[in-house]
Amino acid sequence: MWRIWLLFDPRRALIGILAFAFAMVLVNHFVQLSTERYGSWLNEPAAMSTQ
Amino acid sequence: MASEKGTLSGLSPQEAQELHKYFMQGFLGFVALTLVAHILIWMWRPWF
Repeated sequence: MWRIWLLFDPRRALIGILAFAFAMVLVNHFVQLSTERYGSWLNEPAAMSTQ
Repeated sequence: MASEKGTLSGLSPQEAQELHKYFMQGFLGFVALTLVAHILIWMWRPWF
């Protein structure tokens, strides 16, 4: 598996991986915010009280 | 121009192995953090 670094330049690969991961996480958070079940964590009071 | 170590990335096998060790540490750290976050979210509102 380490041989991958003989093929790809680590600097570009790391920048690519970090950019991809950031975009993925960004999209996931906004997708969750748009759902009915999870889309309330910003505007509801701290839901620590278990109903 | 051919890289000095004869590999496409210019890293020697030793450098590649060392880099991979640190890369995997970082990656496993990310996975561990994500796992904790998902466990907390599951405790808050399970999705199944």
